[in-house]
Amino acid sequence: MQTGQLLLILAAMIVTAFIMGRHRALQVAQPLGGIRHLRSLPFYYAMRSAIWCALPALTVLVAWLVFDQTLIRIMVLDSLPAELQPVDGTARNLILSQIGNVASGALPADFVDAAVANAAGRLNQLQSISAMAMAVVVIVLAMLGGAWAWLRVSARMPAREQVERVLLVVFMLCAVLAVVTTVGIVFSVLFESIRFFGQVPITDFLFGLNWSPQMALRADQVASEGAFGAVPLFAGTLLISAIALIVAVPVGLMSAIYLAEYAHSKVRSFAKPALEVLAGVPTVVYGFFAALTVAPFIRDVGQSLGLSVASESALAAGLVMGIMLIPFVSSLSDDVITAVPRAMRDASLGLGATRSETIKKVIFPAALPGIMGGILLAASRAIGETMIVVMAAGLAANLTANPLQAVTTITVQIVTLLTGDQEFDSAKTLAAFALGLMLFITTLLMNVVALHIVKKYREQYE
Amino acid sequence: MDIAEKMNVFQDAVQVDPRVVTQEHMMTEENLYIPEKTVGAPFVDDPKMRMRDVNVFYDTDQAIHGVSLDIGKNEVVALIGPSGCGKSTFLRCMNRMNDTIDICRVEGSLHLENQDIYDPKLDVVELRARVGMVFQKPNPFPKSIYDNVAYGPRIHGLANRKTDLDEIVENSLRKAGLWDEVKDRLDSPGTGLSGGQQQRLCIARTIAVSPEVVLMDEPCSALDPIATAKIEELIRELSESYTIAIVTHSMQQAARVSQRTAYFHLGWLVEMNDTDTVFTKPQHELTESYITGRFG
Repeated sequence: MQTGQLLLILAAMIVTAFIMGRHRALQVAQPLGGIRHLRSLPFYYAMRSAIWCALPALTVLVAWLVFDQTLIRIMVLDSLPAELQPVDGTARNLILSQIGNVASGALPADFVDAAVANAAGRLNQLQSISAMAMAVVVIVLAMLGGAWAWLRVSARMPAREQVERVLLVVFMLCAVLAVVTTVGIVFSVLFESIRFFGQVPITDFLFGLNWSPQMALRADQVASEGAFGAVPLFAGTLLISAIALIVAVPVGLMSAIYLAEYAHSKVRSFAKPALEVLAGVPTVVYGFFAALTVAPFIRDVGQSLGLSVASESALAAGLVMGIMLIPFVSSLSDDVITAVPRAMRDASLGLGATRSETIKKVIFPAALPGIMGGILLAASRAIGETMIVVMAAGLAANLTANPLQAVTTITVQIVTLLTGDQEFDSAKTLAAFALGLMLFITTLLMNVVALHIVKKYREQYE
Repeated sequence: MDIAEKMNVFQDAVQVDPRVVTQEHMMTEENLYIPEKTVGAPFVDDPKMRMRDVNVFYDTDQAIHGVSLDIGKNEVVALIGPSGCGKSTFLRCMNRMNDTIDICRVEGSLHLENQDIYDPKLDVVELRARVGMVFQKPNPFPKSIYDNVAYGPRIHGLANRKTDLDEIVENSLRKAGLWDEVKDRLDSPGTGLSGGQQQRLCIARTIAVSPEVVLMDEPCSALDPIATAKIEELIRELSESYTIAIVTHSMQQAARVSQRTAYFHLGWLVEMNDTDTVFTKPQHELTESYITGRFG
């Protein structure tokens, strides 16, 4: 039986257990004079039955699926004659894939050793036994669990407490999942980075002023040596992010203040969603807007002023990115500004403060944590943004503070390093992971600093 | 026996006698007589604030109907009436706090001494510095106690030096009867005080800008009886130097703190007179019904 079919049957059983548990609870309640004599509502008895039906069966199912292939492989290999027993991991994988191919019919049986063909037959046999056994065990467990819960329904049973305890564990597992994923990503990036730093000294990477990752993949290839100084990338990232934030933060904040404090409710109900649409525009669309409209415009203006402007410039990318980030700042800030209680405004206005004094001295400090959150989100987006930069700022790793020149960023380089044919022991590929790690550390530090600032300056209202 | 006690006795009597609270005596909105003219004595000589024919609209709903009354110098005027009778709305007209509500429109003439409050050329900042306000729920800023009191003086530039500001803060807290309780922790947040202390902090904050009139919108409704007693005591002391208009739900409170009382009903000013007279010899049937507890 297929696992998918088994899951469908299990789902049907869980629903049945739910309905029967509910029915049973109502039945128990009837002679007592209604459901208010039950300790929990019928829904909780039903949930409890469903959980009893589902949990043991699903646990066994998952464990079975995780372990059965490993066990079957070991058993199949054991059945091989001594002279065919693999000596190392590679040989083991080879023979296993051979057996697997024969078993699935991809490889004719007379093409290989008789012993291997036998093993393939054994593999098929074991797999069908395993599947059958799994289906039987899971269905029996589900039935037993459901029946147990059904029998135990009584007026005094604390069904709600038990269901809540199970739900608590479920919530906890969800929280753990997020944390574990983060840790997993960090470690995978970390290990590849350590491999990279085995080939390129960490000081060269952190303090080198030259970035040119092209290097020979084969011994006979003609290519440069490869230089992995990340400073130009960091400088480029900072330059573009700074330009973006210089555009986004003041514009976003002021529009938030206008919308929250001054705008008529009609204007607000129209303008706020319109602004949020900006956040929904795909970055690649911003990208060609930057590359085809803004960058040439800046170049033309620069030329008319007698400045030399590259056709791909940090300024173009930064400006467009800033426009992209406006809704992040404005929408979040607007929400927190509106959330400041009316009593605060009234108190300030009642003392004779003007609207702007009220905003500066009362509303802004109270809304600061949320505003900082919005700015931080915008900053992380700016640092992590790739598409606009690829299209508008170029790939040239220039170390410059001049926004009119082409620069490149960390994310863009990660993309270029990891597209095309790769070799995972080459410093060129591994450099992407080192860059990713740096990016991660940077955003982490930024978060810590911002949290600290918020804690220090926030004014908490009740 | 002061009036508050008299009134308690009267109310008790009303509640004990079942004949008084019968169906015919229960007032409903349909059979209420709405007066054309306020009874009693709403006007005084040389008033601090003079309101004539004030109408207030929320969009198309009229909340205040042609109210005319005076508030005399250094007197405490209580505005009483059932919920939704417009007393708070009327109070908020007197320092134009209603301006912050988009749909609110005020007609009529309101004067603070000779100044037309609704003169379009008038600076509301200056008006609100002269007519301060204390709100229903204590609303200290999430700043330190010192900064709360110093807020008004700072925005109005009342103190040139730090020592001047310290003095204003101390004086205001002393007048609000809070100084001894907070003098050692002026830097701790105002929101950390108890409800009654917070309300006295708000009063200190209001009088720190030396207003001429203080408007109080049910200042004790969120407080316990002991804190209420302290605020009432404070109101009596403040009335020596300030003119006070207080909205209250508690008739006992009106009787205890005010010299004159105005009774509002569904946006009309039904009766206004000396507090004594209103509570002992009300001239209007509606006032009498309200103060004897037949509706409210």
